[in-house]
Amino acid sequence: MLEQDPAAGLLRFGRLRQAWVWGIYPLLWLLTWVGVRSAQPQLLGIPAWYWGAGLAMLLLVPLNLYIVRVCWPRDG
Amino acid sequence: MGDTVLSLGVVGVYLLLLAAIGWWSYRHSGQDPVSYFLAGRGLGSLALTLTTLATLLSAFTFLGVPADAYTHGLGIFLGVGVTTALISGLFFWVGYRVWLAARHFGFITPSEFFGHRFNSPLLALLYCLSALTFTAPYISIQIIGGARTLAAVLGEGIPYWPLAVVVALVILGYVLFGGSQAVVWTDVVQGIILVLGMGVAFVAVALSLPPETAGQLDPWLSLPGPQGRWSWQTLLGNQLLFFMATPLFPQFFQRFYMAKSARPFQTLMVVWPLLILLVFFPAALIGVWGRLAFPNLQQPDQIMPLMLQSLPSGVAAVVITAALAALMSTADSQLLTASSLVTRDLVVTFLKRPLSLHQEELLGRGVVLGIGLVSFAIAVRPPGLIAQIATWSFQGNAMLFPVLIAGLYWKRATRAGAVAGALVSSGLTLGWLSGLLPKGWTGGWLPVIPAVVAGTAVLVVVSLLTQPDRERVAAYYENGPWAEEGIPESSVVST
Repeated sequence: MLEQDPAAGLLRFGRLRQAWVWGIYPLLWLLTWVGVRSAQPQLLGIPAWYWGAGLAMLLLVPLNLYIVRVCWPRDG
Repeated sequence: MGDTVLSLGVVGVYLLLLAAIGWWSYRHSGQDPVSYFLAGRGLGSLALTLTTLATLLSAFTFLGVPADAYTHGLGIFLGVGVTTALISGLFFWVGYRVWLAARHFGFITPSEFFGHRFNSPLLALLYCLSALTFTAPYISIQIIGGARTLAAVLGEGIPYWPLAVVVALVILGYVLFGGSQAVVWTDVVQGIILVLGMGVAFVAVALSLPPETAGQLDPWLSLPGPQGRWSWQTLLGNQLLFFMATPLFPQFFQRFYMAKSARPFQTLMVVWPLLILLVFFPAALIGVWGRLAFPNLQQPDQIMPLMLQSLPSGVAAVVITAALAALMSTADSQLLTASSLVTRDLVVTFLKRPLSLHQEELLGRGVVLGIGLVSFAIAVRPPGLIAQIATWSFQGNAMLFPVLIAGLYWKRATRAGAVAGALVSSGLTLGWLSGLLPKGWTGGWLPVIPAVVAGTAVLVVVSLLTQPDRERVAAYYENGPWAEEGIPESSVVST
């Protein structure tokens, strides 16, 4: 019996839609460096830069969701 | 005494659960290589997400990160935690593309991708040998971490090595019998336990802190840390190291082959940063906070287990179980992948010794046992701190990163270019790690960073001077898994 490989034809990496969105990754990465040379100010005994870096990691969730919804190859 | 009994009870229930999963998998999984090594290429979103998480997070995460933060401050969170979250993008750029190729060509081991893409058995062998060489020390840190965690449960007086034996035997037991089915389903349980356990540890430790700590910890709460370790160069070097090494960990790479469709990759990509945040955010803080309770610790790797001793026994037992879950879930995957590398790449492909399915399965189990013993031998006398051994091991995994990216995205990359680039990158990394080359040549970077730069340059130049294998390029890009238009005829497979 013959059947179509479901993996085939899924990729369209060559014509990436919404390419600008990939620029947000390095932007978020750069944000994690902000304020790292100071232990102040603090919130609950944790430095602000640490909270900020955690927030930047959290923002990856909606970013990745957007990529999955919009940029992922249509058939994938 | 009562606390110890409670802790042992919780850990005992956890170990029995693992044994039960191993036994169930032994009875229900197929014995062919795809079943034994890849869980039948049938993982859905939940299983792929949790097995990938549990495979990556290890004794390094649970014990090494707090230990590093205890000594050098919170920089490890940026160096490792942030990078590990950013790796979620690679599930699209690397994982999904590798999955398409593996499904199309039937790859089982990571080496098979490298060898097939460049039509080069030498490249496959190079990946196989480097993965084996650098995986054994990484397995050993799981045994070291497990023994030290169990010591925290049982208290002083019990020698280190019998505990290491117990940890090694439990892991070997369910890997030997259950194969990847057991590894994946224990990973699911372990993934849930380790995220919850770290959360419990964070809350419990935070609530137990003295109310006034103002200023005491400031050097550990900013960069470059109390000893100046986290300079921008060290931080960037560590981030690059983890970014390049993670997708090339053989046990991680093989997870890319196990998905049953594209959907699990999408789920994994979305939830990954949150899961990583839940684990790394507390891990580094617990290490720094440990300075308040144990300011002059000689062996920083003990900080997490020591912090657990100050928690209520029930809470500590849950967290200890989480630590064991983290390290066991990594070690089992490493053992299984190393076994597939030896049986399929070294024996079947390179030595050209055809094996029956039964012979392959038996050999695979023998290799698991052998690698487990080598790792145990390293663990009996640990050559350094967990974070030090891990950093050494990660560099060995990262050195083929240029070949991976060229193989995935550069049609013009040739076999000669890939082999030359891999040899230069590997040779320089090994030369610097072994001390044969002067450390001054690295310019202050981790050795693998300049090695990868040099390897990339060689790969590009040699590729441009030689011609790619047209048929192989067409097999991938024009009428194969990465074809950009339509569904080609060659993608029709018989079943």
